[in-house]
Amino acid sequence: MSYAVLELDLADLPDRLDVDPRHDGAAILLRVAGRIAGQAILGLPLGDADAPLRDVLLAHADCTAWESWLAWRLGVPDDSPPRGAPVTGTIAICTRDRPDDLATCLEGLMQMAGEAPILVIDNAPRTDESRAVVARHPAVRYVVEPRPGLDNARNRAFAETSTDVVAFIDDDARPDRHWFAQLLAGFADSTVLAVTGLTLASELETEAQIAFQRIGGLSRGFRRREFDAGSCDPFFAWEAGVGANMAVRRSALDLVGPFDPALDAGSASLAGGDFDLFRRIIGHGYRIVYDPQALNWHRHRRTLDELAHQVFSYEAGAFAIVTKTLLKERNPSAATFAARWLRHHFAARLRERRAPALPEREVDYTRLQGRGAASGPGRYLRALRQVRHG
Amino acid sequence: MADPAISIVVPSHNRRDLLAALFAALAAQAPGTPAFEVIVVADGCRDDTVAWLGAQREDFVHRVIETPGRGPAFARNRGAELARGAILLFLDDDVMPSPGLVSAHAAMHRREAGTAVIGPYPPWPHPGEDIFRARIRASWLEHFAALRRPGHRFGFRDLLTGNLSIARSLWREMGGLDEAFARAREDHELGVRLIREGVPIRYCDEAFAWHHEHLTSSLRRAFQRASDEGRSDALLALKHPHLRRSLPVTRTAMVPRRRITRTLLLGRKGAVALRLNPVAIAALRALEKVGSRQRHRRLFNALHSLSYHRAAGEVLGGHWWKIFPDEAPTEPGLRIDLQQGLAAAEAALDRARPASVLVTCGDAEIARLPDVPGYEPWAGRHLRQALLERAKPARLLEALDGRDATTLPKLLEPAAPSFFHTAGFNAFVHENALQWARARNRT
Repeated sequence: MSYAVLELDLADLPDRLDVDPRHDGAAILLRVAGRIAGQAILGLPLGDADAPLRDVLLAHADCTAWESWLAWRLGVPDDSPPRGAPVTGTIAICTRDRPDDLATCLEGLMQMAGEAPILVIDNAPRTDESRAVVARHPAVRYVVEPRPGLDNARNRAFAETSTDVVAFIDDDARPDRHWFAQLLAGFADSTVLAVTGLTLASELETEAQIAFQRIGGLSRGFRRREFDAGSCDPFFAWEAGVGANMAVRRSALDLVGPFDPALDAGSASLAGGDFDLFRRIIGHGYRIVYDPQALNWHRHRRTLDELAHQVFSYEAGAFAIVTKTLLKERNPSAATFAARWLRHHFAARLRERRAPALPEREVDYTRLQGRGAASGPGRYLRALRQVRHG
Repeated sequence: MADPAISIVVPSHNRRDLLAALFAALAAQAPGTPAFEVIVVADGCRDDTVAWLGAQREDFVHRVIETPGRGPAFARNRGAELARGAILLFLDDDVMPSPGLVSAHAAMHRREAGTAVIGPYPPWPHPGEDIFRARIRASWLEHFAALRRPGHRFGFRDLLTGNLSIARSLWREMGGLDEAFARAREDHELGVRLIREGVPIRYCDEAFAWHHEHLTSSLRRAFQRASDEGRSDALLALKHPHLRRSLPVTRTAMVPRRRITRTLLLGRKGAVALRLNPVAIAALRALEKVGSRQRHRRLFNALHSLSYHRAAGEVLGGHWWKIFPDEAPTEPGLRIDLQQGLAAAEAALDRARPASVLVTCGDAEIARLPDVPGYEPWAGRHLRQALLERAKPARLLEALDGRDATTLPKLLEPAAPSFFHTAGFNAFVHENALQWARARNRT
């Protein structure tokens, strides 16, 4: 099972869709006159092969694509938010022993419009290969962060730079041409401490990759949104975006604290470093802007085992954060969140599992989430010890 | 000395420090700004506002009058009576103008005389420490984002006196603000009259100011404010019967289930409930602390509604029937057919300026543009935005493509039509899942 990943502009379409026949379908990012509008998911071969391509795409498109297309046809301008004072930024890639991915990521960054300082943080590397990859790009800075842990690397990125903002991209991702500029443009005023963007699957070649994209993947949708304490429960701050596509204002580290080394990849907590920062930004009364125009492409995990581990990690990370909030911040809202999670989210998952007419599920989300959540507190305490004793 | 071109009227109540900041911002207006005077109406000030003003020596002329604390409507009217400029510019004392604000207002009036010009004053960037503050800020930002849209249809709620300019002659013709609306909605009431008289309302993005509302609004004041608004909305419904369908107070008046509640609220129980407000505010804080956001929202809305309706009921003396609204007219004021083209449809709207419109394409109905009292009549510039918001998407696309609805393939419908204009992560996840399910069913 595989899907082609394509990008098409509704205002400038080819005559026909050219897809390798080995694919079972196509996941298509739709633009309207350059602007990112939505997506269409097509099963192939198409039932009505003679229909004009635009009709086919619109028939499979989401509502945001329809809205953008109609707005463009009507000549209604985009609802572009006011821009604030310009900010300076650095692009940081936190990597660990994935030289091939890193090379692809750097190639992508080189093809981006405009220039930006780029910094590679090599996190506790076991080999010299990443250093060699970076050496091929003289303009890119290379720093080794010996303490393992993604959040250590993220904090190091701030320590190594002096720009207003640091934009993070994963080593297994590549940016759209305007990714960085769009992220920077989102910092409308000093209360916006983070801007996040849209992350889509760069390939859908395996069952696991398709399964992940089908439940949303790393995407948070095609609508721009602003998150603050009024519109978002801090414990749902993960809805604001992902660490693979985010820019954080330097002042955030002073105002709400740095990334927590006891969280995310490389720590026993496995995940949650980005979510935890977003939670604190919203909890302290500041804002996060999610702008889907800031696009990058991420290569999802290829095997079902890796997907299962990811699902497990997300829940473990979330409950590590619950533990942190209760123990270190003495904030009772974490208990409310945990109770609600059990009563609503997990109960719904259990019901779903028992329902006979179930769309097929490649991994057992219910079991993985349950186990992940249960292991979260213990993992956080272990991660704390790791941080303390190195 | 020649009369200044613009008279800036600022009512103020015990806010000397904010006034000082405002004076500094006015002194820093860009070079080339037309001459202006500032009239501060110290309304029942008990701090040293008046003495401080007396000691100020600025480049612009400023005058102070004192009023006995009868509210901003009374204060603005007295200030306007003193004005000598041809244009009146009303600023609130917690509004900090950008350097281009005064000249931007003046330029709009030069370009088009006889208009009312509103400028944006979004909240000063300040972290919202609690849910209430964050929501207030978000609603202000949304308000000004809507005004900025080119196809925005102005309504009486858009007329805010925090950053508004109007020709002095027009102000006098309209009779200024109605002082019966002492503490709230006096600006909305003026908006109703301006729109009814057909005065064009213009939005000017350059007349920008920051609103330091974080210094002047609070949870405690929110319920006082709700009470002032309830009183004023009831007055508004009495004074302008045509407006009733647009007011929340008359909508509640029509719901039979709530009549009992209202009767209870008017009596002693209501008074007791209001006296418990400090307790309720503490409860709100506690709910927020334990992260019980839904209960927080429900309690807040209940308290807000209590204050609002109790005050409205006092004005009406319990006779809610006095403000029962009329039936909405069912027959559209104008029918336009998109087959004639968008430009022709817009021209037809500009000629007729109807209260409501039925948009068709041949025999098929595309959209209904409703008659909402208190809003300016439909005009050509509203059409495209309104179609985008109200039309059935597939029908609209057919109309724009000039295709015949009967010959279209069934294919041409969005994958999941229920998610139009629906924000939120859950909407995305559901729609995404539906799109994938649909694609896989096809293979």
